[in-house]
Order: sequence, then structure tokens, then C-alpha cells
Amino acid sequence: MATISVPLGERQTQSMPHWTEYFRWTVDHKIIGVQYGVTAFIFFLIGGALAMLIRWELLTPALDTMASGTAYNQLFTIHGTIMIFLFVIPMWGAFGNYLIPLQLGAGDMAFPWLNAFAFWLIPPAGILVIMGYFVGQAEAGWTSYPPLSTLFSGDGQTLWAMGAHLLGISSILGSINFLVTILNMRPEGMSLWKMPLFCWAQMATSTIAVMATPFLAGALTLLLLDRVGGTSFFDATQGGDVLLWQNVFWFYSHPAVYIMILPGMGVLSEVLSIHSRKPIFGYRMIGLSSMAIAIVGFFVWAHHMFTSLQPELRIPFMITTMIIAVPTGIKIFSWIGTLWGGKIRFTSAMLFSLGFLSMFVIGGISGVMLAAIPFNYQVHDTYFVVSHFHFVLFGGSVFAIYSGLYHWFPKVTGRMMNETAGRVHFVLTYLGFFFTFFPMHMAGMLGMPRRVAVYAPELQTWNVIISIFSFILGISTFVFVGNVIWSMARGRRAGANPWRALTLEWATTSPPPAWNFDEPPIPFEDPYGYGTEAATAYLDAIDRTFGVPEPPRPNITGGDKQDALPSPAGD
Amino acid sequence: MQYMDNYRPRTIEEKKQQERERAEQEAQMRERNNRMGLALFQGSWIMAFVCLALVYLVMGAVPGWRPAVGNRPDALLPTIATVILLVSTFLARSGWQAVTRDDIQRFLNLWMTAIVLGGVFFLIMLTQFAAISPTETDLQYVQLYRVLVGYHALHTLIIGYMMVQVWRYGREGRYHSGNHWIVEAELKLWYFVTAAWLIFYVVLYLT
Repeated sequence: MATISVPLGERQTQSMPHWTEYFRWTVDHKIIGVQYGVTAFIFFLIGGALAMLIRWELLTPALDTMASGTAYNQLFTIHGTIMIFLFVIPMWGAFGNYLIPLQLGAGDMAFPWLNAFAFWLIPPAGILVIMGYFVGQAEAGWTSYPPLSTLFSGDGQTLWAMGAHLLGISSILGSINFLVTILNMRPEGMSLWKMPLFCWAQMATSTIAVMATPFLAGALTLLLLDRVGGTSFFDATQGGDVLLWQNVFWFYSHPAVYIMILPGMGVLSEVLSIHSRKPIFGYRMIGLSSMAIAIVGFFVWAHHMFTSLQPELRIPFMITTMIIAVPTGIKIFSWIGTLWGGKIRFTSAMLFSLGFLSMFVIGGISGVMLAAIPFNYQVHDTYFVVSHFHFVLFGGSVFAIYSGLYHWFPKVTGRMMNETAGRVHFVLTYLGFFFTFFPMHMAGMLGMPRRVAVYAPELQTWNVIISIFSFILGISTFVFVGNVIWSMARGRRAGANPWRALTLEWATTSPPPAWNFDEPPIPFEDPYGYGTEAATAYLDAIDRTFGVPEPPRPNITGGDKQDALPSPAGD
Repeated sequence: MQYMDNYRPRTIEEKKQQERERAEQEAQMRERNNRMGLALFQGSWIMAFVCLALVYLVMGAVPGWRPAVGNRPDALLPTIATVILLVSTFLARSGWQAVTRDDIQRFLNLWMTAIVLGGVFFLIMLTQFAAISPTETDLQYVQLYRVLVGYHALHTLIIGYMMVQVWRYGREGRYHSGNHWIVEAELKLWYFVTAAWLIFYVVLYLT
């Protein structure tokens, strides 16, 4: 019989820390993780509300809701900035903070104080960005291209740059923490090749953030000097170079796309394997492809500038852009291989992961289309591009975030989320998302330019369809928020390991105690080794101790009395 | 119950032994974490300097952007400053080595000399910052030159101040062969100042 060293966990749950703890300076990585997550989600709601305003304005071809084109410019600028810098990137910080030490069997992050510091830079940065509203909001788009950002934006653009600076520092410090924790604090017996794939994804992400974010700092320094220091680096009338900003900005911001998507891919590797009860297919290739994406991601930035790039540089950047589809494709095939023949349980987490898989592929394909220079010329700065990056960042990142939230919510709170509400949320999100963003391909190819409030009347039908479904997408968020509130109060008790998973975060109570583990846990040889002798013995022991898992019961009523182990994903 | 073997109750003696071992491992891990964290920070932040150097090279590639050779800042003083900075770094390193041998007086002397040389470097570069003034034809060049020199000077000033603090703490007897991480960390930050300057020196004066 195999020797099992992973603790079985406990039936009863710890209680969550008192709510006031979440508003204080703390060095507990779990509380910091929740702080990151809640803060990011609040910004998501703000950014989402701005998106609804954008779509409301675009219901008609004329300018009506907005006072002026400038107001519309400010609207999409802050929408993009919030969603990228204040929602997606910090949300992955939330997952990383909460899960990395737990998945590695560690007591905390390598630098707990630095961890807290990195988080507490985010709220003031967000406030700086939003406060621009009172002094003349930034209106140059989230990319802040000069001369729009130097000559035509109000003082809010300066606050925007300062906020982005703070967020960059936060990102660098957080990433250093992740890297050191992953590289130094793995338990005995867990080599890099036995590490959970979420940690692999975070390692690749952090590598990008550490290497690329200082470029943003350099660019922002020059932008700030142009705005307040009297220099003219980006002012062509003074001998400056407007394309300089684009080069430096995209050298950071294209890798930043992978900062936003790689952790989602890590979530997918966890969820697909656990909820289909299958060992991950191609573990090494998934891990290595994350690193390959991180490396190749540094050599594609100029594809954002095909229309302004020197002709001799276009083909090399087209090739590197297409090459990056290869490691991404490896992941997609590995995930399909993981699902193949598995006992798939269509939990909310699984549904969102499958949603990612389908939507991200569409975003990937349109990405390869955009990499082709002749096609890029035709749809440059149209809604085709808007559609592409929303398929990647919403269809990819946000679906993965929802998947991860449903998957790890029981660990964080000790309670299961309501599956019925989860499925309603998924259906509304999936349909709302698809019919919001897919028609944008058509609108773009018909010539609908991005970043305009006034458009040709013949495009109104497409825009009405897009807007209606975007409102459904907006409403779906409230289903999720309601589910979270309900589940925290009345959700079924989760127990330590409701999904019967093998990674170490499930080998402690839900929520985990402040010290995470009573004893340093010894990991499995294969964190996804479902069906192996060791895993079977471990999972059988859990069943013997806590009872056989129940099948999924999405309609079950919640409450403290439902104390049995709820496990939608049992063998 | 073989599967629970690693979690059987321990005796008091076993628990004490375990705690001792754990404390030792944690101390070692903290040291490893500190070293790796600092190295990653240096590797990361140097990229901001690389970014500015690349900006300079990209802008400098435009014909006529830089002033003619005779009108550029003279390389002599910056070269002397660079040599002084290198010597300062070497002395700081020797100072740290002295701490590891518990030779505290030697550490204090070498460290203070390194600080003074760092100050000389800083002052020379301040004169270079002010040495050129823009004309109509080289406005961008002068602005970027000053940004590079000033950006580095800011780092020199902050890290130099931290060196002074280390020297003060050293005089209070805080460091010895068993506790010299702060000295080592500060030395590595001074390495960072030196490496960043070498990048700028090559770009500003040798290209």
C-alpha cells in the first residue's frame, strides 16, 4: 500500500478572520489575497459601469448621452485603465497571494511585509486615476499615446501617469515576492517539475512583470517630465519622437497581455484536471509553454504599430507574433487531452474553464489574423481589434478569474457557492459576452472605428445588438455578487477538500489557519496523479473519514445544518 | 494506518528537536530569500536604466540629433568619476569582507572611504549635469542627457545615504561575522549604482 503523507484535512471549518482585519495592514498572505481580490473586484464593477455607459452612448450613431466627444474619450480611457491596471492584474495578484504559499505547503510568502506594501500601493493608485475626473480626466486611451497624452489631456493625465507608476512598483514588488517564494520555499520533494501548474504560470507571469514593468517606469518618467518638467521628448514640433512612446510602452504592454492571461491558464490547468478527475495531459509542455510565451512575448511588441513601423521590420514582427501561437496551441491541445476520457463534472468552475477554452481560441485565431500585415492594415483601429482583445482579456482572463473564484471560494470562505446561481451566472455571462463581442468583428470589418462616439448610421443595427447583450453581460455580474453574498452567509460547509484534489492547498482546513499547516505537508509525486495508487489511497482515506462525496446537487438549500461534505467532484 | 505515519503524535523531546531544526531551516531560508529577492530587484530595476539607455540610442540614431563631437560634454571628468566609483565599489566590497572576518575597524575605515569617493563621484556628475545648456538644435539631446545623469544621481544619492546609515550602525557595533546581511545588501545596492552608471557611461560618452 502506498504511503500517504499529505494530511487529510478536517471536516470542521475554521472561521474567517474578523471583517475588520481586511481593512488593516496585515502580513498574512491570505488576508492580503482577499484584500487584492475585493479591491480588484470593486474596480471591476466601476470599470464595468463605465463600459455600460459606453454601450449606452453607442446605441445611437449620434452623440447624445455624453456631453462631448472629450467626455467619451475620458470614459473609454478610464474604462481601459481600470480594467487592465486595477482589475485584471491585481486580481491575479489576489490568486497568487492566496494560493502560492498554500500550494507550496509554506507558512507565508517569502517577504510578508513587502507583500502588504505592494497591496497598499494599489488603492491610492486607483484613487489617483479616478481623481483625474476633478481636474480634467485623462483622455488619451489606456495606451496614452502622445501627443494626445502630452498636449491634449488635462491634469488628470498626470495623475494617471503617477497612478500607473505606483501600480508598476506594486507589480514589481509583488512579482519578486512570488518568484522568491516559488523558487525557494517549495517543500522537500517538490521539484519544479512536481509543482502545481498554477505556480508555473505565476512564475512565468512574475518573470515578465519583473523584466518588463521597469520599461513602463522609464516611459512614464519621460511622459511625466514632458507634462510637468518642461521637456519635449514626445513633441515632434520640438524635435521629439511620438513613436518613441509607442515602442517603449508596447515593450511593456504586450508582455503585460501575458501577465493578464498566463495566470488564467494556470487556473485552467488546475480546474480542468481536478473537475475531470484526470492527470494533466502534457504537464511539462504546459509548464514550458508558459515560459516560452513569456520569452517570445518580449519580441512581438511592434505588431501594435504595423501601420507606422518601418517596412523592413514588419515581416519579422509578423513572424514572431505568429510564433507565439505555437506555445499557446500546445496548451490548448494539452487541456483538450486532459478532458478527453475524463469524468467531467460540469460545476460552475468547470463551465467557466470550458468557456475560457472556447472563447480564448476565438481570440487567439483573430490574433493570428491581426498578425498578418495585409489584414491588419484593413482593420487597424477598428472594432475588429476591440473584439480581439476582449476575446482574449474577457473571454480569457475574466472567464478564468470566475472559474478560479468558483473553484477556490470554498477554500477561502469554508463554504460552497450555490451551483444553480453559478450556472445562471455562466449562461448569462457566456451568451452576454459572445453576442457582445463577436458582432464587433463584423462591425469592425464594415469600418466601425474604435474610440468614436459618432458613427455611420448603417452600423447602428450591429451596435444595438452589441449594446443589448452587453447589458445582459453587466447584469450577469450581479448574479455572481448575489451568489457570493448568499453563499458566504448560507452556503453549505465545504470541508477541507470538497473537490477531492491532490494539491496542497486542499490539505488544510477551509479557511486555512493563520499558520496554514499544522505540520509541513509532504506533497504527492504528481499533483494531478488521479488514479495513481497514492492518490487513490489518499482519496479513499478522506472518504472513509468524512463520508462518500455527494453528487452535485445544484438545487440544494444551504445553511449551517448542511454539514455533510459537499463534493460535486468525487471519483 | 500506514498512510498517517508522518502524522503520528510526537514525544516532547522529538517536538523540541523538530522545533530547533525548523528554526534553523527558517533562518537559512530567510537568508536565501533575502539574497534572491535583492538579486531579482536589481535585475528588474536595472531595466529602467536599460530602457532610458535604449531611448537615448534610438533618438541618437537620427542624423544630426547629437551635437558635433566638439560640442558634446567632455569625457575626461566623467571618466575620472567612473574610475572613482569603481574604486569606491572595490573598497566597499573590501569593507564587507572585513566584517565577515570581524575586523570592524577596518570595515568602518574602508566603508567611509567608499562613501567619500561616492560623494566625489556624485559631485563631479553634478557639475556635468550643469555643464551643458540647450540650444535650438540640440534641445532633445541636452534634455535626455540631463534625464540620464539626473536619474542616476537620484539613485546614487538615496543608496549613498543608506551607506551612511550602515556606517553609523556599524559604528554602534551592530555588525559582525554572524550578522552582516545588511552590509552585504547595501554593498549589492552600490554594485547596482555602479552597473547602472557603466551602462550610462558607455551610452553617453563612448557611442
